[in-house]
Amino acid sequence: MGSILFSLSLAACTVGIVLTILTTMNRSTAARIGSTIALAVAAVLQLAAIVLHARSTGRLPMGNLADFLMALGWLVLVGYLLVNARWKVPALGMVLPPMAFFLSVLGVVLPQKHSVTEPVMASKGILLFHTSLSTLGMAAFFVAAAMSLVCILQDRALKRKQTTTWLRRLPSLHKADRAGLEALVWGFPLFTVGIATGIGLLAMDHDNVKLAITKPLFPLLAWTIFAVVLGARLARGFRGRKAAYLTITGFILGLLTVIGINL
Amino acid sequence: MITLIGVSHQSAPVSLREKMAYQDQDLAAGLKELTSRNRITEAFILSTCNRVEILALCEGDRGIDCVRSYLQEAGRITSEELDRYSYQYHDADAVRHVFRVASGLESMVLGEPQILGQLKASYAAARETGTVGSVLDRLLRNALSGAKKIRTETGIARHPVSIASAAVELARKIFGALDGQSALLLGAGQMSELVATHLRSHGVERIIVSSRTYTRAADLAEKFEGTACNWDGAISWLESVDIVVSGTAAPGIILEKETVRQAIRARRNRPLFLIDIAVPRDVDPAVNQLDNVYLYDVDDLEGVVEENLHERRKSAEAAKRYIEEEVAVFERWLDSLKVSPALVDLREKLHGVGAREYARFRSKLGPLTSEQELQVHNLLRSVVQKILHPPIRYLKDAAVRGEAVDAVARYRDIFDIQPAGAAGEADETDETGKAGPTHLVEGGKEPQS
Repeated sequence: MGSILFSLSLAACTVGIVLTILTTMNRSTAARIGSTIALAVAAVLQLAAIVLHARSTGRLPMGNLADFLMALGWLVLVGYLLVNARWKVPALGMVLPPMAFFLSVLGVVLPQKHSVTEPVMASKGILLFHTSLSTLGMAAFFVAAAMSLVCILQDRALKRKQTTTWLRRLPSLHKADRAGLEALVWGFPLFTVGIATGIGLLAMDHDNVKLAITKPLFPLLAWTIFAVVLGARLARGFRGRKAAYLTITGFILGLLTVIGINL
Repeated sequence: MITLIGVSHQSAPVSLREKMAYQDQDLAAGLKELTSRNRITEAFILSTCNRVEILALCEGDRGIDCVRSYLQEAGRITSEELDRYSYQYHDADAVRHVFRVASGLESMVLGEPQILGQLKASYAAARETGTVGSVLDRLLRNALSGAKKIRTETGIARHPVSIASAAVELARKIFGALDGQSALLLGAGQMSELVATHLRSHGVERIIVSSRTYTRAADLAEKFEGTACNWDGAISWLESVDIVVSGTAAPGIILEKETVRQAIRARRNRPLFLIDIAVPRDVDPAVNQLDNVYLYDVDDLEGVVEENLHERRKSAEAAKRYIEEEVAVFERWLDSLKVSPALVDLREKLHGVGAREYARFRSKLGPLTSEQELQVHNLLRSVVQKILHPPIRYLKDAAVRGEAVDAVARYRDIFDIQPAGAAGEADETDETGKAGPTHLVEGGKEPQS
């Protein structure tokens, strides 16, 4: 049942992506509404598939890389729907839903290997809390990174006086910047608590001292970057290309960390 | 025949166009005058600063001559002038031209939107005067709705093609909506004023004007309900405004990179859009290298305009394809009109036969109650309708296929129907020689006496 729902979700997502491309090209209202409906349906079906999968395996969702990628794919899709509803940035539909699709497919294709940390964790409840918050934080950073990419492209187009058809479809710098900042503001506390609980869980694992020391290094590095970017943005008005590049760097580090942990 | 005769900015000098142009208050009289002439059954006049066109439904070449003679009289122009400067389109070509005009494909600025409003106003005037009938009414309605669709779907009017509107488009790429933004004008020249007018109309809330001559700055500031400031104090505004329009006659750079760098620091990296429309330039080009600063000079803006024009030309190709489809649809509808008289004749003929046969047999039926008589009428009418259905369907389909004329001729032969005005007298009496009713009672109801 779970795999059927997941296949249906991928089909709805494909329809949504095609309609999103049509929306961006033709600015058709019907295609815009259709793409939103198809992607929302895809999100609902994928959530149901994830829940069924967790129940059938008896394992916590996001317990390994495959589960994590599937959950991240779902969160990115939901993140896109929320950001688009709030900021009206259909051009982002060219990036986020295809990425969500790709992540979800990866989640299915990758072997269902258990994380090395799971069996030694003291509490499955804390683990679920930790992975959920970390994944939510990463999904928010995903949106922030996508918005930063839009900022970089728009900034470059404006600086170089380029006006191609595709660049016209991009949201304004202000809109992309505000949406990216908002995603950072939402993602940072989630990621912070996620990291804190992760460190706590590792500390409870007395048999694995080496892991407890080395494992949080990369997440902390990513966290530091996000903390600097967010702090500078809120306190000093730091923005533009440099802020965008830093956000993307932080996101890549965070993503590599999560992938590394679950490999 | 649908005929369009007109002059436009492409075919005639302004001296001729202004002679032929109509004031709003003269339009109704002109339309009435046109339709009062023989062989012109419907008429419509479009008069703008760029074109004067008459669209008419007229009968043959003599109808066209009537339109031409009207144009000469109303515009006080000679036949030679009309031949030399005007264009004429008929039927499908005229329909196509109306669609092209409505869509802005014939406009001086490709895809400009004003023509749609002008066309709407002229259509309203013609409707009010009662000079548009079923054909022109449908054509104009289709042209107006088609033009709206073209604008929405092809985006022909989406990309701005003037320096001032291009500047607004760029500002919107940076700031999104311009509501609540502020702009500083350095210099109070005509071009600065034009850009400021566009910015203001798109929501820019506050305009600060600075000029070496304070009174000029004050005059312009008053026009925009803005603020005038001394030339020496203008730079301090860089910290708070969002857009700077610089168009002074200064011989060299007035805004150095370092000045803008300091301003950006003071404004905590909020983006600053600089529009340098001065020649020689007012703003150091190196300013564009600063983060969160976007500088466009006249050449850059012209580049944007050229790119936008290119986009409009591409959209125009899509618009032309759409128009061809619409012209084909309209032609089919026109063809369908050709079968209408034949359909009426056919109905009348068969209902007449039914009515006469009823009259012939009425005496043999004996006494009937009014209810029974009504039922017999209904029976006959129903039979005739059933017989009529396939040939009517065939005629309508033939019209859609563009074979209306042949099909109508065939049916007139088969059913021995004479065209209107040449109806045979043979049908006036039935075979018994007695005059009888020529129609079954409509809907089986008793006629009102």
